[in-house]
Amino acid sequence: MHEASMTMQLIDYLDKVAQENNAKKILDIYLEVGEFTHLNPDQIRYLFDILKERNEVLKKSKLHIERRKGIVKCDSCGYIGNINIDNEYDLYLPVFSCPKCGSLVKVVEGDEFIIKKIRMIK
Amino acid sequence: MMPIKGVIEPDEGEIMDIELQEDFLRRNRELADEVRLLLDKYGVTAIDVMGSIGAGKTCLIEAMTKRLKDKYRIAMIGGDVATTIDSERVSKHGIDVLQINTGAECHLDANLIMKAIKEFDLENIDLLFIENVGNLICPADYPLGTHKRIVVISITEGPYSIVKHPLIFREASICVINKIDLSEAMEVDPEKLASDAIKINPEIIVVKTSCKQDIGIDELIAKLGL
Repeated sequence: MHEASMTMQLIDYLDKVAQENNAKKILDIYLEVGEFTHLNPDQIRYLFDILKERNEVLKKSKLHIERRKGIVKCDSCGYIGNINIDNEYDLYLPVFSCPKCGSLVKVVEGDEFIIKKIRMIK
Repeated sequence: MMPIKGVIEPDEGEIMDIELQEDFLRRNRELADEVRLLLDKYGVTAIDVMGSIGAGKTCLIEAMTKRLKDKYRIAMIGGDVATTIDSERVSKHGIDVLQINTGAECHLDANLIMKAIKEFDLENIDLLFIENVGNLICPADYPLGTHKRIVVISITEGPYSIVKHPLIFREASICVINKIDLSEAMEVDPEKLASDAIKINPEIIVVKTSCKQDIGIDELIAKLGL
């Protein structure tokens, strides 16, 4: 939903990193996007490809996005792992109750928009 | 300590990788923690009110303000893409109101709230309502550092508004189902909506209200511990 502002923020950040490292071009960018965010990798890629055209450093770059699976933790029973996906509706409906004891779980992983690695040419 | 021998840097034209762990969303969460610290320092309780456009967020804030303004010193931050319509409505109740117009953004973030609360005299505020931008999606990714988050949905949004937007119910402590007086006309069952919310978040407290008919407001105030 806020892919546009995130992608613009990403481009500003990449410009800064390229400058700090005296890089001429950025070739590859590796991102991880959490399952519990409202960020759609396809839309990020689409916007990135439009925006990079105006940017000499990024023009030839490629975005690699990995979806990071959500992991939750239960403070009541100690469960750590995946959440249940409810199937009453024909929708992706994540359920944040512990699969073991039913308490509300905390998200350990799945909330991220991480830049993991950048490959560039000096 | 021995000085290092030097740094070997890539030559011109050489390929270089750098490993990072830069998380743009974590930055917001860290800033939200700073907002909370600042609010706690001045003893301000903050409540983030989220929900779709037209769900009744402003109406609920007005109804709570009317009841609570003699008990607490209240202020409000209103978030919208444009206009000051909602903020003007609430300021008629004689409280300090600040409008944030995001321009294009679909949510408020902790950075905007940090800027906004610095505009208030926090020493003279006990309770701060923050009305988020009308949206059931984006605000979920951006906690603001408030003590409680409420999601308001209304009967007129139909029977699937909760299951279509599950993530926002994950962190909210209260789900308000507003406009219950229209349940029959809309053929929407508030009990089913309530059970959908509890299915996603087993600890969420559901309060059924009709802001226009003045139903459920006292219960909401009680559940907020105010």
